[in-house]
Amino acid sequence: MIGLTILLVLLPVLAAAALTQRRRSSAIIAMGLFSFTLAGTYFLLQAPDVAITESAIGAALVTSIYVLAIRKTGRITVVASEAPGLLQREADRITGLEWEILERVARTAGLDLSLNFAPNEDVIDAVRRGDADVAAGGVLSADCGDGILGTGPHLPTARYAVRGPRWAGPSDPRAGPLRGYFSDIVETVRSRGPLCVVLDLARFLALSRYDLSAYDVEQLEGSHGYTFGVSAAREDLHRHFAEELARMRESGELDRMIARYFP
Amino acid sequence: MEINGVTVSILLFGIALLGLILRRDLVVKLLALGLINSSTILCLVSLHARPDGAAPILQTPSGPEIVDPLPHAMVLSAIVINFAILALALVFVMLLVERYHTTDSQRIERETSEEERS
Amino acid sequence: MTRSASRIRLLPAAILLVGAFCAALWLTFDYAGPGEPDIARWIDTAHTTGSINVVSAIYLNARLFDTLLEVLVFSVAVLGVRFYLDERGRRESVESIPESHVLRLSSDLLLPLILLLGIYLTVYGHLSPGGGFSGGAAAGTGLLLAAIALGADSVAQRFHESILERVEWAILLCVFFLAGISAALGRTPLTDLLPPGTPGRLASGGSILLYNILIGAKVFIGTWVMIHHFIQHRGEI
Repeated sequence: MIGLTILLVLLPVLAAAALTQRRRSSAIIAMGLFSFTLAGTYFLLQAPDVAITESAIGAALVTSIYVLAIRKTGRITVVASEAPGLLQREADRITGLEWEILERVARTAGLDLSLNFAPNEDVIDAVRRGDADVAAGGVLSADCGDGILGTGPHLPTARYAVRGPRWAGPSDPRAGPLRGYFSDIVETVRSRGPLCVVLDLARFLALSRYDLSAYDVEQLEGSHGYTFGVSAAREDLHRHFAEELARMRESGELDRMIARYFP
Repeated sequence: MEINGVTVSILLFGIALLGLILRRDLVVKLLALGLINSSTILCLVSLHARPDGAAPILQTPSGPEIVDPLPHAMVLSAIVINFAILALALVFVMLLVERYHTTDSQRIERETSEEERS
Repeated sequence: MTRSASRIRLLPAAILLVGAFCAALWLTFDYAGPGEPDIARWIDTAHTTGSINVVSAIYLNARLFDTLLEVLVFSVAVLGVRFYLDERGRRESVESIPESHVLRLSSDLLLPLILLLGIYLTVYGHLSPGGGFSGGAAAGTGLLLAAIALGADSVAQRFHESILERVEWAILLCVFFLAGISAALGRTPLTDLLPPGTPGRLASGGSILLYNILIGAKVFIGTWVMIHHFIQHRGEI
């Protein structure tokens, strides 16, 4: 009787822990653990048929099918935020300077490339957590902290602060970094909403195609460079990136690529 | 309020529903749906369950009265169907992720609405 | 959980609504239900079929209809998986995990045990807890272990996809045929064909044994087909 109470109290704790995990794989394994506890509870509730079926199907099969459905290993997992000119989606395809560099690196390393878009503030976190191997999409070398190795800058850039009319946000007059997706910013500019953000050159160029007369534009000082943030756990990948970039720089191919996207 | 299977199953249902609404990742949403299913099954099994009863297997020496075996039979089919439908749902999630390169549900919604508009 | 500034109000609203819903559920729940369950009827059902497992007697005799349709739903789900993960996304050959001594040894030990456990659960379904569903699922998981240890391609070569498909649908037709014969011969409601033997022995339980074997084989094949398609779509194990 007391064992049953313990298990019953354990169930919501396990479920809450499983659904608040940050990584997908942790959530799946925690749900497998929950299924096992549930099977034990069914056994103590005098339902052995249900217990065997739940443990065979819920704990074993469901967990293994989830694991089979997420691709992970043998690939370079790239998490990126949208950056027009560098890495963007056009209809079905992905284009951009960084996308070509990434494809070239993956092809020479013999690995599969898988790309996922995420909100800008999650990109570095995802690499630090270990969810992805490379952060791309307008990552500045200043953004990489510890745990992330930056490859050498492949394109110099500058930072711009865009402050919008009627900004009723936090009292800090300095603008904040980009949060969310870049297409949100585009929407805000198109509808002339309030805006206070720091953008890099590529995004700023894309934004300046719209009417920015209502906004206050200021170029911040300091020189930055675009880089890829590689997770510190993939040293081999980082070395490969550095070699490949050096090779492209020497042969002049990098300049040709840049000229194609940023004339 | 005593801690029996039914209250725990209602609590689990609430947790799963919260997880379904608040998490953005598609795979975690599917996990929450499976959890809703499990909580309902727990409620059905523990409605008339007596922990001091006997399991529904007839033994010759008569012991305590067996528990109600009808919910067990209903629930067995439910577990298997849950697994089958979950596998199918995972197939769709895999196809979606391949096409849109993200498991973020909000982003997928936005992309599909843009496609519909154009 | 990720939140952007515009959705910061979702969390308290969601908690409030879900909390109110759960409180409403809890307060209006009728624990007593419609009276005491009628257990004697199910014990009678078990006696007429000669099986000891009352739950098996219920879902394979008194409520056979539910089980038939449930097997049909399972088949349709496997069909759906097979249909949607078609040739487009499939990788040519499946890479396997690099050779590992531990994996090979443990799979040599465990694989026969798991398959034997699956067969045991299926065949002894009318004498102890288990039945076709859990037996088939356990055996399917054993095949997954085989695919991890020996390579998915070699396992797939022994179980040809085309033969598996035909066997699966043949089993489904058999199950419906058996149930149909019972109904046609006038034994209501869909009772057994084979006579009940002495309860407690293997050769008892009427046609529950037959149904268990058929359903166990069906779930086993269905699980393996699903897992195999997932592996092929993923490209590696």
